[in-house]
Amino acid sequence: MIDPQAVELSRLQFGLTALYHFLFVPLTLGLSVLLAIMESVYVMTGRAIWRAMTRYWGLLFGINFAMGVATGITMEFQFGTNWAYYAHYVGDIFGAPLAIEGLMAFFLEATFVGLFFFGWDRMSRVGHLVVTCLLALGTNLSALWILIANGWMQHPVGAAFNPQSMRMELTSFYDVFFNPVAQDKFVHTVSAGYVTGAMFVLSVSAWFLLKGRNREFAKRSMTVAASFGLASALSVVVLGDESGYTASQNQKMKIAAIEAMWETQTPPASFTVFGFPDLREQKTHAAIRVPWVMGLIATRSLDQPVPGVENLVADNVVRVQSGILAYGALDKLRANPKDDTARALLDAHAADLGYGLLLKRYTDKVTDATPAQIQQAARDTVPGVLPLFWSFRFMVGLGFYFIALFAFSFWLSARRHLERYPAYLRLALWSLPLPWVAAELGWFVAEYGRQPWTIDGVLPTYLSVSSISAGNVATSLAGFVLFYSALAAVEVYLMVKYIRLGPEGSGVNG
Amino acid sequence: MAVRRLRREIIAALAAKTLALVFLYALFFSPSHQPPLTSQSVAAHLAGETPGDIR
Repeated sequence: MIDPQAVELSRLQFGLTALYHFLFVPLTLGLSVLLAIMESVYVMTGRAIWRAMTRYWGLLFGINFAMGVATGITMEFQFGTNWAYYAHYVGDIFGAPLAIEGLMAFFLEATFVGLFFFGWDRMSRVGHLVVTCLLALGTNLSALWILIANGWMQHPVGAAFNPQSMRMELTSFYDVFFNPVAQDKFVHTVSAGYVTGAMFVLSVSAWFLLKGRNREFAKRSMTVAASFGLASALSVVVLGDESGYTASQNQKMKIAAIEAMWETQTPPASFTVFGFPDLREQKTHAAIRVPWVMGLIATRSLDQPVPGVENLVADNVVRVQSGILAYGALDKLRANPKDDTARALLDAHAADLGYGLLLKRYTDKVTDATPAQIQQAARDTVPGVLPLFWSFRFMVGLGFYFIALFAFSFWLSARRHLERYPAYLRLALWSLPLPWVAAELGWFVAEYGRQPWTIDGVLPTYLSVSSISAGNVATSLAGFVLFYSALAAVEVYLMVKYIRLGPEGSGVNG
Repeated sequence: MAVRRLRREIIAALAAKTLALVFLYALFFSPSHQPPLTSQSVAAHLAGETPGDIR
């Protein structure tokens, strides 16, 4: 019997580990590209200040990289222990991009990180610039493979269920690689990383200016950060919109929950900018709505409907009933693998097998499920509306704030007024944590919005967890919290120390 | 020199991190902690016990 506490603790453990790991990743993604830009200017102009900038921001990049490396490996530990059924069921597909990412990270990133730090006086300028560009490419390619794996969890394409092995098996690597959900998530996520890198440089440079030190260094850094940050912040919003469109094609329930859209509206659907969703009354009180916008985001049209939560639940009742047929056929096929009728029935309803598995929470005899159990299973497909509604709106609000801040910074930089307004410098400094907040909220929306599935429509979270005790998970969770808290303390200590030392104190001016 | 000091600090942090990871792995995630799975046990978990042997 599955222990629901073990399920919830396993989810918490995986979620915390992933969120912690993603504190390091966006800065690595963003700073690596900024380093390539700064070093390109150095190679083109030969001016020493650009070399010092590359080396100093590179040093902070190095601290982040060293502290962040391998923090994601603990998620892979968990696949074997906490998520053994998940690992067995989809490991053939999910494991491939993870393995490629591992090779990329270890062989490409790690090699070029070493060359970046130790090659300054051993390589030509152009040679070192090539290394820096390859380092940026390596970090971004790592993200690509992780997001291909994650995109497949959101929209499982290029795979089919094999009743003999009881696993999903790869049918088309091309489809998995070019999964539109994965591609959209990749560009959206790396753009968010670029915003994080740009904000880091902008905020730290603003601190230098507030302290009246390293002024030329800081102003140049802010100019690069403002222009790169503005382009990235615009990209995040545009690509986020594209990500929303692909999600609305493939994960309609997630979109309906994010929007707290209880019933299908007459097209084109409006977008709720603000409001207070009421779960009991299924209404959004004091809603401020912008006409047409949701219809345009979700369907790119003015005449197609965006389905509401209740309509999707009704659709899912039918899918659960179809899933029961698939489940029954699977049972017969397991008893007699030569039963062609059962195989034909399974093939016809295989797409809904996961919906049948949702019933396992309520009954061991899925084929005998009562109408009430079917209704309950269909209702389980609605993720938590309130957390999604608010997380999404905070994330989007921050996205627009970044555009405004970087645009203002760019304007000040173009007019050479970066030092003129201390209030602006303080705002830039205190905005430092916001890209991380936005990125973590983005992941929360993506993953919490996928519930109750680990693989959308295929494998329920409830059935993905190993038969382990809640006590074991709680103990290892405590170990993780201690481990990651200690790492976070070291990261913050080293970062603050070397930011305070500045370029001269860190010895990178030479 | 600051860079050299940083190098020492990062090496120390990486060593401590590796130790902590190995410790966590050995305590909670090594193969002895991983439930052994076969197609049959997965089938039983997902689809329930069935007299037929799928192999």
